[in-house]
Amino acid sequence: MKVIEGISRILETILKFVLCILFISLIFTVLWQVFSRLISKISVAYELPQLIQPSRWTEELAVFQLAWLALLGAAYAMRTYAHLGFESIEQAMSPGMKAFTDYASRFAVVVFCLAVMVYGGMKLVFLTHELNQITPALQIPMAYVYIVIPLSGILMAFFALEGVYRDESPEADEYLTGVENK
Amino acid sequence: MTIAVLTAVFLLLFFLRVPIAHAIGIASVSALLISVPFDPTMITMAQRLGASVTTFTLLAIPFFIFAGKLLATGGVARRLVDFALVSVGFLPGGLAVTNVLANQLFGAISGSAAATTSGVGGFMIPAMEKENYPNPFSAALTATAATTGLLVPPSNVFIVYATVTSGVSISALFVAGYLPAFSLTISLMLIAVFVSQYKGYGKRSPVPGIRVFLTKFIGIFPAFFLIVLVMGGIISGIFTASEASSVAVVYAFILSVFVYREVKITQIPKLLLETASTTGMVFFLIGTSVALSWVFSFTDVPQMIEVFIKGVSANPFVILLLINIILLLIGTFMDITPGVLIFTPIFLPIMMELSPAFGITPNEMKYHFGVIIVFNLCLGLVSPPAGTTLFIACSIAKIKLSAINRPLIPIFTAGVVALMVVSYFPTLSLWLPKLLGLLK
Repeated sequence: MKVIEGISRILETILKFVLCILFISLIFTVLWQVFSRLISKISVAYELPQLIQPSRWTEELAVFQLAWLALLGAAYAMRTYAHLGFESIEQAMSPGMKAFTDYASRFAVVVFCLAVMVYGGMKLVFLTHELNQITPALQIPMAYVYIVIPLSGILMAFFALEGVYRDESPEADEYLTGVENK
Repeated sequence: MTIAVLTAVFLLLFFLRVPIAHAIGIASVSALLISVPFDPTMITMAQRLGASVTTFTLLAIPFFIFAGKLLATGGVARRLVDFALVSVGFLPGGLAVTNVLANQLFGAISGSAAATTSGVGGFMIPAMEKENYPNPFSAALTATAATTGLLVPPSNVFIVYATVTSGVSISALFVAGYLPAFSLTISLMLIAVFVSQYKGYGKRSPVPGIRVFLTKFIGIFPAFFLIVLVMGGIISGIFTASEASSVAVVYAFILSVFVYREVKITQIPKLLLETASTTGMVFFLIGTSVALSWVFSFTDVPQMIEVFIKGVSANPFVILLLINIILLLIGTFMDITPGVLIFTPIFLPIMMELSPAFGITPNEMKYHFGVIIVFNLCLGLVSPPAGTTLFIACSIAKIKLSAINRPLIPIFTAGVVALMVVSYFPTLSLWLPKLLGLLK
């Protein structure tokens, strides 16, 4: 299963990089909104020339970045075992039962990702594309925002399946205890 | 029919250990498929998911999580425990009372009950063990006290509540949380003193001098100032909650990297990724919960529940008690965020109709009910079998989950007493926002 491990490692690295960039740019977008609003408020109050207009596009851009951060983050959360479940019941299970529920729950997750996020999400993207929905200030098609839904669905399904192999590897413990050393 | 399918599918997935967010999503899909064809069902679900991640108000959530993580990593827990110790450590049951105070303060700053349990519990449980407090008692107290911080603003749960309640101001909602949180803390402190005295736990320590107190206060003041900055900015109307959260990130970054110097710049990507992972988990939960809530209203579930509740009693006070009990039960197996999103649209209309009986307007009830539902679901975090903070506290204390039940009974009861007082006296939640002119 070397191939899957390799793909998984590459996907994870790209995902981590994208998430960091998205998060940092999101912080700066909102900070710019705060800054531009404060400056223009001050210049109005003291009758100074308006150097900076309170920006209108930041809120839209921020929401755009948030959608991508949240949904790609949700896929990454699948990789880091951050999605909460009723784990304590594990103690009461026999090893066979535990293995069965493990496969069953991964299967349920994959079905949800493929049906709702990939299939429903793609339909939604096409629908908003046909209706030509665009955001008012930035004029970005809403389809570009929603395309992250099927994208996240594919990644999430992949990480859910790939976790089957990972559980035997020594790495699993680090992730389960929330300690990441890479 | 819809409720039966929903509950059956959810419980099945729950015991298969499917993540809660996915379980809620699949249950909603199954319920919707009874009456709606395949394609519209999938598109609607995807659309609900898309709508909840494109809400500007929710932007504050990743920022507050990140600011909390920066501070939690930056040695704030130790400084807070030191400060709590010089403030209340000289009382009878000193360390137990210190534990309650430190948990509440840390919870307010970190905004996460789980981070609080491990952050404060990591210091307090071993310290209490040295002074002869039994570990099950310390663990039970830590797990309960760790949830008090969620009521203290700035709190992400209230932001989530505001997204499903039309026309509430986040600033007034934030301020409404202060006195109820304070009531819970006092109630927990009293039970901590009482149990420690009655069972003879711990020992008395002398009252510290003013100089020691000031040193410890100065040590923690920069972290407190974050709350002053955020809440001051929001209350005075300079920032919105989302904007304030971005300022909080900058402040927390400067504080932990340059002032306290306990976070290295190379650790930042790791913290960013942890936050991204938590954010993804929370938003996915929000997305599927919003979808479930929509399925509920589509199939008239709120009306059915209203008829059921009104059938039990017509007395407003009994109805409030009933709602409290239902919410506490929900809290035992459901996390706070989905609980708020799914059950606010069901119970708030009933409570708003009953608001004259409590001497408040329907609009004021929106704020009061926000406090009630968050309080209930917080306490639910502590009750077995699925209490998140309980697991963490037990693993720190190295005890079995079953050992915690007995010492938990008096502590949990104290929490419920505070909950009842807060529920039946709306003044506790409404007085402060009115005083500050945030609520007309």
